[in-house]
Amino acid sequence: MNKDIILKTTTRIIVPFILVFSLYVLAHGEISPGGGFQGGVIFAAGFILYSMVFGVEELYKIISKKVIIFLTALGVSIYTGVGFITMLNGGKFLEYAKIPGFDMKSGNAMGLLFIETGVFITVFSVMLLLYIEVAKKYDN
Amino acid sequence: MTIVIDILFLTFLIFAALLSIYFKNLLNSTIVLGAYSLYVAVLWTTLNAIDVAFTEAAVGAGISTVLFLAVFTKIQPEDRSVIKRNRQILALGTLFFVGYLLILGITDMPKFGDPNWVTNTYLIPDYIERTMHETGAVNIVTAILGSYRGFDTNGETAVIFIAGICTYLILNRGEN
Repeated sequence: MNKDIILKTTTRIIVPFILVFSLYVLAHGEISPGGGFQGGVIFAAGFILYSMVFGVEELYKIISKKVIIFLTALGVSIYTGVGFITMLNGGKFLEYAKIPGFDMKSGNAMGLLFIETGVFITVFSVMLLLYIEVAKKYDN
Repeated sequence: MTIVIDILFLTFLIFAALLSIYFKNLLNSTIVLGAYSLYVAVLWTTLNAIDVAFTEAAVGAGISTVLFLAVFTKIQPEDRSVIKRNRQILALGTLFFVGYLLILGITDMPKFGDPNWVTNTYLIPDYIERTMHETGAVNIVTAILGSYRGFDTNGETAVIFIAGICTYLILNRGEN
C-alpha cells in the first residue's frame, strides 16, 4: 500500500495485541465465550491487517504459502488424530476420557483444548489463504 | 430497557439492509453490510447468545467485509450492467415467494422464552445439569460443540478445509 506512517505504526502496535487476544479466546473458550473458530478468525484478522498495510510480500517473509496450505490440512489432522488416538487407547472415536495420560476429568478438558486447537489452525490458515488468493492479483 | 434496544437496533438493521440495496456504489454497500452484521451481533448479545454474537462480529463484520473489499478492488466501482425488466419482475416474484415461505415457518416457532416448549422442558435443562460434571467446561456452548457434538464439529472443520482448498485450486487453475 502507500507509505502512510500513521497506518504502519498503528498496525505494528496493534497486531501483537490482536494475536494474543485470539490465543486467549482459544484457550479460554471453555470458560468464556469463544473457542477455536472465533480465535482462528481473529488470528487470521491480525495477519490480514498486517498484509493489507505492508503488502502480501512482507507477509510471505513470515509465513510462506506452502506453510499456510500445510496448516489447513494440519488442523483437520489434529482433530481427527485425537479421535484415532482415543480409539487406539480402547475408547470410542473422540472419547476424550481415553486420551493417554489423563483421567476422565482432565482428559475431557484437554480433549476440548486439542480439538479447538485443530479448528483454530484450520480456520486461521483457510481465512488467510482466501484473503491472499483474492488480494493477490491486485498486486501485479 | 431491553425492548428499547431491540426496537432501536432492529430499526437500524432494516435501515442498513435497505441502504445496502439503495446504494449504487458497491463500496458503500459493502460498508453498510458490515454495519448490518454489527447490529445483528449486538442483537444477539441482548439475547444472551454471546458465542454467536462473537462469531458474527468476527466473521460477518470483519473477515467478510475485508474479502468483499478485496474483491471490490478488482471490479468496476459502479456496476452499470443493464438488468432486463422481466428479470426484475422474476426476482421480485421469487422474493415474495421465499418471504411467504419464511413467514409460514415463523408460525410454527415457539413463543420467545416459552417455558413449556419441548426443548425447554427436557433438553436444555439436561445439558445445563450434566455439562459441568461430565465435561468440566463452564461454557455449555463449547461443551456441546466439542464434546456432545464432537463428530459434527469434526465434519465442519473438514468442510472449512475442503472449501478453502477448493477455492485455492479454482483461483489458481491454469497455473503451473
